[in-house]
Amino acid sequence: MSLLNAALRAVFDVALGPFAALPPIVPVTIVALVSGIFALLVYRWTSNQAAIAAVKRRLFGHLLEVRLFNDDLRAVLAAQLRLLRENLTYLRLNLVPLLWMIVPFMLLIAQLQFHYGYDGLEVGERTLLVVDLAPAEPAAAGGDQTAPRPPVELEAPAGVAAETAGVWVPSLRQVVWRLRADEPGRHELVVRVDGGEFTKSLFVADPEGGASWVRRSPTRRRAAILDQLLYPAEPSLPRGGPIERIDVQYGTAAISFFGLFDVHWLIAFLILSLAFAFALRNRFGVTL
Amino acid sequence: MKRPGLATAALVLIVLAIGCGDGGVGPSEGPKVIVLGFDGLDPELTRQLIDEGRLPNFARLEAMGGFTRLETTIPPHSPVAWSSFVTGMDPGGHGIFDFLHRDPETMIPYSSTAAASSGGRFLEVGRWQFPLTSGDYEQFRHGTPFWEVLEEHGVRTTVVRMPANFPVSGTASRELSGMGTSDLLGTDGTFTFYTSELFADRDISGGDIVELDIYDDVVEAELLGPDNPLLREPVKLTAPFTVYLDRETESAKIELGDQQIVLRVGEWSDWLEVDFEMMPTQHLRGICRMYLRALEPEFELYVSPIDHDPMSPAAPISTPPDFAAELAEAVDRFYTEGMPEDTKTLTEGVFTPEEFLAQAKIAGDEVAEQYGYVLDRYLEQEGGFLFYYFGNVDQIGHVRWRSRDPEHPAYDPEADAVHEDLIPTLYEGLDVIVGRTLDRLEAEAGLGDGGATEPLLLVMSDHGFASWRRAFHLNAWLLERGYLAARTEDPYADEGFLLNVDWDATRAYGIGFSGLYVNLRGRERDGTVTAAERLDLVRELKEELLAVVDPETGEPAITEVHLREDYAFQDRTAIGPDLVVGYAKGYRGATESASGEVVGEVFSDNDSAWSGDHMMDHRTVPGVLLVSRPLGRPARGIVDLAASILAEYGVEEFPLLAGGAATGSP
Repeated sequence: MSLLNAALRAVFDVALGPFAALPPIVPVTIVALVSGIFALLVYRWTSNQAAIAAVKRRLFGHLLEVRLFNDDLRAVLAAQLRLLRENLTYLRLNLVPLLWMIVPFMLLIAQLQFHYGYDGLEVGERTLLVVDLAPAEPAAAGGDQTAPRPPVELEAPAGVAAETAGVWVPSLRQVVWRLRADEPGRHELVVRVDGGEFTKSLFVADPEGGASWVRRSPTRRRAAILDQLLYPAEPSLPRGGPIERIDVQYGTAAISFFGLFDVHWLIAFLILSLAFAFALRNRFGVTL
Repeated sequence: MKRPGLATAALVLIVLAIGCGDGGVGPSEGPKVIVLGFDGLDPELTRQLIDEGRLPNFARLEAMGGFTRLETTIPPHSPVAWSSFVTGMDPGGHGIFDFLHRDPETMIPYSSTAAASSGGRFLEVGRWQFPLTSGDYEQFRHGTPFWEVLEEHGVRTTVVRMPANFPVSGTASRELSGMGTSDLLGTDGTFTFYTSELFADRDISGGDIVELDIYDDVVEAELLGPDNPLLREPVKLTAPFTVYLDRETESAKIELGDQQIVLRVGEWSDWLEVDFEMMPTQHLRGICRMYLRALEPEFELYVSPIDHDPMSPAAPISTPPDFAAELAEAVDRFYTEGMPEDTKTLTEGVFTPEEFLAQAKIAGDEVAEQYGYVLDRYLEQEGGFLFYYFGNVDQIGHVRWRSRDPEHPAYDPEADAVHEDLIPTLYEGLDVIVGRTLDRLEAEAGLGDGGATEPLLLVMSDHGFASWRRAFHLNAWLLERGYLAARTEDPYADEGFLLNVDWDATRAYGIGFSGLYVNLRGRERDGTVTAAERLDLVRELKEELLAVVDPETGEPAITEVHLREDYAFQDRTAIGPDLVVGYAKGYRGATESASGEVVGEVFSDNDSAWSGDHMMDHRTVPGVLLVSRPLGRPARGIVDLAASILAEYGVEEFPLLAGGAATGSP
């Protein structure tokens, strides 16, 4: 999974890099177009097109039945039952292509989320770096919530200032720093615990409007399968290490939908990919 | 029909994405006129600082068009004066006579400018009630705002933080409410001070003190909101928060909703969003700032009044409704309450002067920064009118004026001398604002070119300022002279708000800072004075008041008393006081008396931090007027200014109501 994530990060960084300075609706539209075509092809190859066409014809027939025999309650109810049955059949026929698509789309959405789902910090903006330590050994903790301060250090790179010392929260086994972004760019924070070094990326947007829409990662977590799937933007923290997760607070981004309104990128992506798929279904010879 | 090609469709989408930008602003008739309203800017101090060379841009403005003292209203109270500015009418016309009025039918005092009402009808289901009609806010000011007339003549107006304009009039192109805007609790601003100190809880004005416990260096507490309007029984809305203390680093991590912050001792937070859940699908949203005052020896955390979130305000604070959000997006969230400087923290001894000044600076900086954005937007458009209000000097002046007055009874050489230059420094900050505006108008709008549509900059204040050394307890004086009687044997066992008045034996009473009312039969609920007796009584009261001498100083305490018949357009006679008391410079109506309380002395030293004021003889506290070129229609008083502004656009008829004619125009 780690290798796959590393490969996908590289692919998406390269693919989306040229659009980093453009309004994000541009790459989202292009990815939605490609995704719509991809979905049509998968649908055509993995679905039973003849059965889908047949069930759609039957659905249409039963709808007509309802319309034509609306003075016959028994006929209408029977048609409604048949409509329900055909609908379930339609859903069943769609399950197979959906299963084929779910994995690639999850990987795609996870990658795009880290490009367009978060606002980069602005110069001068503050954020928190939150380090969650692994649970203490029972012998060390002794059941004491006011556990001694662990030797956790932060090395902030040039361009990022730690405004506070690490605030130790024993009940959460958490150390928190307040950071201030001073210079744009991708910075690497270094957290030292028990002789080990762990990095966390921090992205600060360029006030001159440069390449702002690049990958940013709000969290780096231990190598659990689900976390690797949902948070692929950085390599996982080592299993069994002293840190469970490192978080940086980014705001949730909203992108402009062609200047009409602001919306989360995922909504724009779903609308556009569905629109492209419907618009192109005949060209690709697909019955949806 | 041939379908458009895929490439063409994509190109259109991309062009749309890049091309769709911020909408522009439409044209507007007439020249550019900017009015900067500096609440409480005192002409004497302004003159002095100009002469000392400390206000170069004020001097520049004076050289361009002139500097005059601007006659204020009777009485010279901010909501009264600003309402006269807005409507061109005296208090009898616009109906705002003081900060406090009373309902003559119930004798209950109320805020003079606006009130909130909950929804009128509810659908009741179990413990829940669902409003069938929406709640509303009522603006008590009468008359037509001058910007409404401008808009009717095609002039786009932007009116930011106009006092006594809450809820907003809805008639300007862009409008943000100012003084009088309540916080989420519906008050003028109620802070909360959380402390672990035992027995710290006490009744204070303008805030609540909350005692709490600390377990394992963790504090669990709640922000208190208004009553849940969806519940039949009054239950406070709450928003829990947690504070994790780290004594070693003198810092704390605070969690509020899904927000986390870290504060060191002595630090202020940025704005935090507060989400009160009324029911699972209904929320009331506000904002607050936190100040971590101390971790040891006691935990102390100040939480500002919870204001309306400008991103989704629950009250009509702007026109159009999303203008507040536009300002918040352009700069940052901001104090939406009318008077954001939290003076009560100082007068109630919660903050040191330095802590209060830090808070006031945050509030003042927000207003100044927002002005930059508003000015940018305004200068983008053709013509148009802009009003922008600054209240920092007024509010800080109220609580720090004694630093300029070693004769003040509460003057503390150690604490006050260090702030001797504080208020002049604030004036210098306003001078920077004036300079920035002049520079922009010269560079971008042709100021000084003598053209037919040369822009105009007016700098004005509603009143001046003076030291408030001695307090006059009007109701105590009325009791002493036999005009007012108490219900209880001990007349001073009084909880205020006129609750201890024996109305059957009372002929006159005071409410508000200058108002003296006759207990008039047919108007007051339990009136004793007939209409035929009224005029003799008010004349008698006037004569006696003008003869009052402060036994400690031997000076007259009252230098003017106005009968309603003498100064105010004869309307709103049910609300307006029968007499307005004008105190000598250095004197003011006592706060206790203003809220209808009788205390055991007629005079007292003012030992409060609230040491500067203007609610005195209106002749002693005029405002200022500086203009970048002579006005086509000169203004002698603040009540004349609206007509002067309209005249710049060729509108000669103002105010619109008969009898509300400006009082001071030459």
